[in-house]
Amino acid sequence: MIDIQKKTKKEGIFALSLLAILMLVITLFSGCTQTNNENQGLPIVVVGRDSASGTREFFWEHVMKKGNFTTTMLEKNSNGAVHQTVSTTQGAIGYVGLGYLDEEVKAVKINGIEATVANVVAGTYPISRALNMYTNGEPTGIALEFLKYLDSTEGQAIVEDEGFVPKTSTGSYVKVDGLLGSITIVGSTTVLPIAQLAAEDFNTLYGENLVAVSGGGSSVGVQSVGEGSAIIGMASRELKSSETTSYPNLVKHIVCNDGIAIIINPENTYVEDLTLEQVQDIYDGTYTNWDELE
Amino acid sequence: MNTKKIINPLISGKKRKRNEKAIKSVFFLTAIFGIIIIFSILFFLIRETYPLPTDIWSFLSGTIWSPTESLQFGTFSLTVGTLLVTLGAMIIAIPISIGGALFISEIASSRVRSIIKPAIELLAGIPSVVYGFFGLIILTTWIKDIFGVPTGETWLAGSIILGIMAIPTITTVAEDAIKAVPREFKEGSLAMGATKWQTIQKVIIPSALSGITAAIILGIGRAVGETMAILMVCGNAAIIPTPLWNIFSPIRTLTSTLGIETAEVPVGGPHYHALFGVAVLLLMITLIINITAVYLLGTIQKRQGATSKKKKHLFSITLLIKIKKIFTSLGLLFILLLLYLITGLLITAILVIIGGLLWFMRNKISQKNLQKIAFSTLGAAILLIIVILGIILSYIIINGAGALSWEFLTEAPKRLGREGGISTPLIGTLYLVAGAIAIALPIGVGASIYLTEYTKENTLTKIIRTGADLLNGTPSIVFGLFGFAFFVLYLKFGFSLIAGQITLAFMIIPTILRTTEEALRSVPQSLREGSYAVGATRWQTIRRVVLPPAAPGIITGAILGIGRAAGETAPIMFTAVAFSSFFPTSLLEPVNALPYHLFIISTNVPGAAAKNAAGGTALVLLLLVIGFYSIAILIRNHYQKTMKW
Amino acid sequence: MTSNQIITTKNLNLWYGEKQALFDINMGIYANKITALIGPSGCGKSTLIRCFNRMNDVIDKCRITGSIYFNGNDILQTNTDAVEIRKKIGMVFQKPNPFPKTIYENVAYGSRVQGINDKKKLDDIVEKSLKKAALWDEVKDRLYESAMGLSGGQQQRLCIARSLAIEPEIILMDEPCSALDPIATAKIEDLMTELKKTYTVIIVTHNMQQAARVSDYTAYMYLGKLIEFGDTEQIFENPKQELTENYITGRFG
Repeated sequence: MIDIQKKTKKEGIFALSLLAILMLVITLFSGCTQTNNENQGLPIVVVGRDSASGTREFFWEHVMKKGNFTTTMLEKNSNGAVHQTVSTTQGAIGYVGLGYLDEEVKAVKINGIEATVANVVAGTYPISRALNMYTNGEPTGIALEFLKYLDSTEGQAIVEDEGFVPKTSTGSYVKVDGLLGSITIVGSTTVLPIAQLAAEDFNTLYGENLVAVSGGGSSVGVQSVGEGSAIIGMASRELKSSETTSYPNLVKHIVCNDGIAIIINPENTYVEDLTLEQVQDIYDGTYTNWDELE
Repeated sequence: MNTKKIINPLISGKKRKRNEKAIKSVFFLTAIFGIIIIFSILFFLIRETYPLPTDIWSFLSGTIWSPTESLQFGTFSLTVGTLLVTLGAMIIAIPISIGGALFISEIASSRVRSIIKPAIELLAGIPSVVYGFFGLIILTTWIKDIFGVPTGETWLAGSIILGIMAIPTITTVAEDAIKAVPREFKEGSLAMGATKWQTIQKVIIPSALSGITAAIILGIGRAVGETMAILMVCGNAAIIPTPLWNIFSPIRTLTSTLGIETAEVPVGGPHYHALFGVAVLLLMITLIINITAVYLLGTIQKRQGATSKKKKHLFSITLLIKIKKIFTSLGLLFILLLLYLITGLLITAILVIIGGLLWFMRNKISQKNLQKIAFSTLGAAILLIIVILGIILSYIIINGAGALSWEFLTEAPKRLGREGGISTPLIGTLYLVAGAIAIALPIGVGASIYLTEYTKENTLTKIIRTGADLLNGTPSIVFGLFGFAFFVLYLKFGFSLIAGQITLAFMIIPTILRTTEEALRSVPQSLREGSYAVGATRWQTIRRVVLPPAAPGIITGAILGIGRAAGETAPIMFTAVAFSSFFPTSLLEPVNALPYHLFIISTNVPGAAAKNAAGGTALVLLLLVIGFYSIAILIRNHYQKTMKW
Repeated sequence: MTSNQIITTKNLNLWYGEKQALFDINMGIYANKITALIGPSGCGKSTLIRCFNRMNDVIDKCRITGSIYFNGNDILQTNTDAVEIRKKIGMVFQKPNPFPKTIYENVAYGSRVQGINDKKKLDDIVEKSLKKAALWDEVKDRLYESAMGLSGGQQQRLCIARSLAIEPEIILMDEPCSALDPIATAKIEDLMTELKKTYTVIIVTHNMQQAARVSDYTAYMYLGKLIEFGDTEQIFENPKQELTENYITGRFG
């Protein structure tokens, strides 16, 4: 009798043990390499945003003073991704909006000032910018009402909840009659959460879907509103000269401010406080290890 | 008179002929569609590349990519990054996949095979965002902890993820090649007293070699074109690793550059044109790879048919053997050097000793034991694949099961997806794939009917087939950029459902074409002859005799296409999607889609609630795609059973 | 009589899944003789011949009971190695199946898998085997060309040479001439008579004239059962069973 099944079973056991040996070799392997890397301080892992990001542009102008970033910088295309990497990488440093601060990352003080909403409002925290919405000409109808809603107590409460820096509100929003149709808002992913949440509440208030919001990025926002495919464009930056020439009628509307926090891993015990110059030197690659900064 | 009676059928015959011609031209149009798409992709990408903000030479050879700050547009480090990540992925994927393919086709009993094969096909069904999600959270942490490097977002992480993603492609194609080796060869060898392993080594692998090579090249093509997963795990620093073999260096590929920068780039600026230049470069690289694969697969088919040409050996046999020996020893030395540089002296020494021992024992081990060792290694390869699949699946399930509920599926997302459910992205995904399949199915099926039923093999069919193969190998992000340039900007559709549907349709046409063609070819020629013999026209034959038995195969292809379309992010990211909680009311409005929703809430929305929702979304997406794939596999298995025995 | 029986089967039964393909086969194959297995399609003759070198192992769901004694050892026991058996019992298939390698490598294949890599020895084996298979003169100038370029008859003789190279005791031939023209067939038949001097040959054939021409013993099988086995002359001229007579006289089949 030929017993194929028994054979396969035997081979299965053999295969399992081979796999186990493989695992063992890998662990040994890793043990060897690990010992090589100890007692060398903590290498800095620089994390930044992608080239098309408005946040990066702001950071480049105001922190880097338009100097080059180190080429070894890891590039992420969202605040969340920067946060994710910093929270799992001991030596990492990154920059995100204040809304992304939580217990998984630690914000360093800049020039001795803590990264908090209050300090941005007070004007002492140095890295902050305005978040904008643009309309083609002065806003009317739904757009006007929605911008009013954003400026109201209700709107600015959302701003605060999401960790952005509110403006002084214009008081409680008063519902008006006769709004018809719908508008679309397109643009910056940074402004998106505020617009999305405000739109949700605004639509609930009127019992109708008056406002639809989608992302796409600051540039898409500016272009869409300029070309007329969206009524409001969102941007986390100011207009560029090329954009003001293409679309001369755009009107800026400041939604709120955004503080940018420099974040490190909670297990990083080397620093609590950095100067803007030190941040710049980290990002241009002058410092490569945290013990140089201790 | 008699003449009239004769003329009448002739006239009706003319009419019939005209009808037949019309039908044929419709199918012909669908068939050349693939070529048209390829050329329009090339055309629109190149159109948007112009004017390139730098000269072509410095674009290709420059090593600094700083498109917004120092305005340098060198893509060389990106190209090197792409090649290195792919190289690493292949070092991981090739042995595992070919081992797996051999195990499935030659060693596994039919019961084991019926479990393993679908498992590997499921691995192909996992959406790349899900791979990225897994890689970012689990794999990079493992690499960081195990190897003690500052960050796990490295070339190694990228290669591992890409390797895993390439495994199913290579395994299935290689398995097909191995299965195509005539049974007579195998029996001939076994009858000579060769062991199973000797037969595999000396007869099966050499006979299947060009098929296996083609499988590897297709795997390379897949790896080069992957976007979403790779951009999440390999750090995206635009540098060439120093030293070049530093697998712990972060790295950036062409695709991830497109993936992270295209969405926010100002249209019409230098950065925008440079990104389209990157897309053209990427497309060129994949075209070269795919043309090589097509060519190689072509040579197999030729070789199987014709008797071999007389070939005079340029060198004597002994000289050839000598040359081979020199090359192998040089290769070995090179590998040793690489090993030394990467891992250090101690490990190299240990490995050399182990290798040497094995070499000396080689002749002492009986063929039987050698076979045991070989089979166990192959078994280990398969086991590894299953283990990987298990880890990924269990991770996604554990993370997502908590969020899953009826409300989660039926409610619209609220508060940026932190509350409410995922009804709009779920419905949006269904809208997208429904539209895509409605467009792709007629074109794909029509093209394959033309190829199998209306023409003999000639230059034109070769071109059509090559076009489909090239389309199949085109990276999904390139489809996305094309959709953006053509539908969104040129045709002024804006971000819209219809733009996404058409872009996805273009992407899945080759899948449908290929599976349909296979299904049509498996219908025996005798059936067609039988139908013609009773006076049926060609179209009647196709409709009544050929299509019914091929239907399950066609449906399988369609479902595989749906599964692929449902899981893709890159093609819709620039054409159709919005992070919204509305249902679109017209084809010109943007929609939300599951993979995009997952991508946004896992990367753009802070807070624990969002993480929880992301886990749930990943699970639903996975279940949806795997569901489609399972249905396809079930249909195919059922069909195979009923058709063959 | 059993002394010169090189293969003896005892109560051999075989199933493919649920379907029984061989029923209680008891027969003996005599050394240095040609034994022909005849019978209508599907009667189990190919299945039977494939039992002798355990070729049925390749097929999933195949189950065998009973014994086959080869030189006194039961080759169906699990502890006998199929690989060892196949070195002693060679096989030639219905369709010529040379490997897509050179003519030389095809013949040297069996020796190579047994670990013989010495070029001189191999040259010797290749030449001897090709000569025995009456192919040497036709191919000696193109040993390093692909075997796929040979004609069907040459390919089949190459396959015979290939199996002779490992010096087996028995050669199994599964309808070796069914894909060949009459001239090639005649060459192979001559070859068989020549081979009988050194080897035992078992041949499955559809062609009754062929069986009558070349074989010493003939077995007639029908529906998986061995109906009659005996001297070829006796089977063709004076069959004892009615079924055999019907088949031989062409009343059915």
